[in-house]
Amino acid sequence: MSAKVSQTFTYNLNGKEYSVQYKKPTIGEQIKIGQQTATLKGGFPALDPASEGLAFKISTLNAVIINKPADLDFLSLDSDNWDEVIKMHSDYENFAFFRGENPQAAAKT
Amino acid sequence: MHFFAEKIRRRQLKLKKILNSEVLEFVDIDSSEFENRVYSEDLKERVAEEFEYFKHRLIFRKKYNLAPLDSRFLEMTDEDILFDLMLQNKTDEETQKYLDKGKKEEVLAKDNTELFQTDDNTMDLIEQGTDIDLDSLIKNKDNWEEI
Repeated sequence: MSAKVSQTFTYNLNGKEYSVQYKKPTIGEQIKIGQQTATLKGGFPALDPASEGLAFKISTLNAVIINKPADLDFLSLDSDNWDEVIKMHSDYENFAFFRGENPQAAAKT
Repeated sequence: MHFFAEKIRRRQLKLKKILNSEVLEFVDIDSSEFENRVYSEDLKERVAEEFEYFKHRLIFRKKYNLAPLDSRFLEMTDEDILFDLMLQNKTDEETQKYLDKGKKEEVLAKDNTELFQTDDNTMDLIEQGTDIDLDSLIKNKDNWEEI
């Protein structure tokens, strides 16, 4: 089955513009997200909710961006970019779980 | 030479004995004890959670008899799975409706078939045991196949 792909979103990370598109993750990719989150959290006996959330968001974005630029490495981003990462994840969630009316269909009516 | 061979044989016997006792000990585990060791509360909670949130995945796997790591399952998205299950459900419903309709029509066709041209008077005569020529009552006799 063909994966549904989102519109293109543009973000500014580390002073550079990146255009990305999202897709809905398959079951296998969802398992990978869980594994990567666990790897990122590994070694820390207790993490604060913000760091834990960020680990999950980074793992998710690594799996759901279909045209990820080679130089975009979420782990190397400093804390100034975290707001943008959170926005990226929020955009992905809006696409994947709260998809509204199809814009083309809405334009026709 | 014989001394070393005997020594090795004894050691092997000893190891075998230890191994057997270990295996027997494992087999003899009381089922409740085994359950306590293996199935912790944490695991039960995880099962409940998995069932609560991913029921559709489990139904899908059961329906198509797929293992948890089957690539055909891993390559589906949740939306694909839900779409397939809803489609299958709809197909089952429509198939059942179609079959029920066919059965109903069959029953109606059977009820409406009249082999004999009869009226109440003739039926009374038949019930009384009067000898009646049934051949004369057959409808569309010309269309009947001759034996």
